Amino acid sequence: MSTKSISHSAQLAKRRLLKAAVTGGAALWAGQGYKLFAAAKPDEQPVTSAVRWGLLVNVSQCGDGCDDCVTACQAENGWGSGSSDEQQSNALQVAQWMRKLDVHNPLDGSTFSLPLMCQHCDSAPCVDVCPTGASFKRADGIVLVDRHTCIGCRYCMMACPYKARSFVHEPLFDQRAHQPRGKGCVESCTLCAHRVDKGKQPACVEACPHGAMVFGDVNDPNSEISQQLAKVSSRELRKNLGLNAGVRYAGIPVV
Amino acid sequence: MLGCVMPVFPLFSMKGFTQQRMVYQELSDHHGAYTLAMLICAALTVAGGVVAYYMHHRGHVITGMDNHIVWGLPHVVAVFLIVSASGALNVASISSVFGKNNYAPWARLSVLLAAALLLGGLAIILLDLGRPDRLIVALTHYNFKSVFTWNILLYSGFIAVCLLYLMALLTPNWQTHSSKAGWLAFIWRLLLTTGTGLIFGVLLARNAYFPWLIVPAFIAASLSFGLALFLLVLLWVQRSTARVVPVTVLSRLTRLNAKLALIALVSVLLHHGVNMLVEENRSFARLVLWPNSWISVWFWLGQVLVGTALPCWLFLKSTANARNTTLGAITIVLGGLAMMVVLIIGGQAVPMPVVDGFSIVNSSFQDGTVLSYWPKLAEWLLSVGGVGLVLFLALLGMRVLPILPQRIKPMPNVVKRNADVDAISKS
Ligand code: SF4
Ligand code: SF4
Repeated sequence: MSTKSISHSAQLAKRRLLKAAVTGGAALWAGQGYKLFAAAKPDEQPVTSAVRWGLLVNVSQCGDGCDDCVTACQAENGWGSGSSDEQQSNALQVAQWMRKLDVHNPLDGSTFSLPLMCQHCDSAPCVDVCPTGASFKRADGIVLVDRHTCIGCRYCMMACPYKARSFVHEPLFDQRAHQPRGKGCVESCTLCAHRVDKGKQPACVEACPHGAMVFGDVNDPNSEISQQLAKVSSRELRKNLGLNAGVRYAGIPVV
Repeated sequence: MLGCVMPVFPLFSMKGFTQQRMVYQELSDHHGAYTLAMLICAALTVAGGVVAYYMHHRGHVITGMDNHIVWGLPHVVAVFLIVSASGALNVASISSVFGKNNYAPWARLSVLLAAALLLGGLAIILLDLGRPDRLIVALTHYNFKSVFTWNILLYSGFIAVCLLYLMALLTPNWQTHSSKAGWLAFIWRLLLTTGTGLIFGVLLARNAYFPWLIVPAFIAASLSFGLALFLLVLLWVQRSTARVVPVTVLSRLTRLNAKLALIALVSVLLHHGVNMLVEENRSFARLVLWPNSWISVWFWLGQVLVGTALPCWLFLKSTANARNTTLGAITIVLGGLAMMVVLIIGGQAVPMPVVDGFSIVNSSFQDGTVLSYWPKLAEWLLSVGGVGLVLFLALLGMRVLPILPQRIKPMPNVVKRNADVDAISKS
């Protein structure tokens, strides 16, 4: 058996194991041919699968050394510099809802920079493995954690292919009213669901001074994100896992 | 006080104990060694409980775990105890399922230890939860897609099966059912280790676990580790309660344990070897097999040298004696813990290819670097507390239930033969 086919069968085996347990098919996101959706949603109206929220990050526009998106996320959601909490936790224990990575391009030795956060996977491994169902995906594709049923087992952190989840290691006091956090629970980027539901953009998108991020409904062919996705070539990170991530990256060199 | 003596097992034939009626009894309380052991185990259990309470109050900030190494020493020990629970049933299975009657006197101890090991492992996992106070949530909200959920059911089922099996062995009228209960336990223990292996096997994200090979590795390892723990308890029983474990039985068990340790190592090597062939998994296999990382030290020194080579040498070189058996079993246990460190901690320490095809040169989260982990006092106490609970439950079981065979006085011919064997092994 060749290396490739062993590798493929390993992934396939894991997928099958998961699929065997997972019910319901995934709606494929082609980025075109979807219907229009009005962004603002009244509070009493439930989220609907007519929308699939997505985020497109253009790596070639992302500023080197710039972390305005991360700072905006912290201020909006009350973690990191946006909160006076987590003073006792070490650098690897504090929350990291979003982080900037400098990536080495093996082709020309250059580096490029990109923000990494929860990719809001359609076939989200964190949702599949969560024993209590605390990790869940909304109908509109946003993956969240129900802080009332999370028992802090951290299996979702083991399962996340992007290490996008954080565990709260100490008691918290300085929190945002719209973003309750708690010791012993797991959390991650919510795609600013509280803002999105009010028709606003996620804080990171709004804060990016380079216009490197586009947010919108990928089910809407007229949305900016759908049009950008149709125009530029983009990819999802770790595509081989077949997660159909809601976050896409443009401008990553092909190696 | 002499515990209630129950004449239970029918006449069984055993070299040296031919046609002897098996009588079981509870441990009497005038064994100083028993009281001391109980006190130590109770103290360890209480220490684990206190630290769990403190951790619940302060949070996991007092541990060495973080957002990279999310499962640390408590999980290493808990998974080790849980898979060992399956292996601790070896002796009971050999007697009930494979009909080898000379192991029957120790079948009850085997089942009791299996149940205690599982409870100890489970206690560690539960107390390490971020929200252990939400246990009721875990028991009332099920996501049946989750392997964790399957395992909650498998673990609860295992305890129920062990209790049923123990009842069958203990109740005179149920003796005919003990082989059926033995079969059920035999199947359940395989399911248990399969389920535990799958916790890691299904992790798409981690390029460390090859699903179809990690399960057999867990099964083989469980048989070896559980038997080693059983041997340690058996030797304690022999030494502290003046019971005689026939040399033939001990020798067979130690030889079996050596073979199982070898099989476990081969299956783990196969897992890492196949990982070497898989492009995405190669980086982890290299960290394990190439002697250039802390992970490989745990593998070569821990699992290979201490956990396999040493016990094989001790167990296979001559007829079993208490010293070699104790030493060999301890090394297998240490090797087993090393295997868990490599798979559980090593699997998290290896850089995750979050941007596939590229290496990360800078990140506030130390992506792209091989991480290290060292547990703090809280993890040590919680883990040791779990082990204390296992032994406490096992000792308590021996005290309140007729688990141990009454002090067996070997027949004169056996005394003579054992003396001969000892003389041969000494010469
Ligand atoms: S990126 Fe991680 S946390 Fe986000 S949906 Fe995917 S698996 Fe879950
Ligand atoms: S930590 Fe919470 S969200 Fe994550 S798997 Fe466990 S219960 Fe689910």
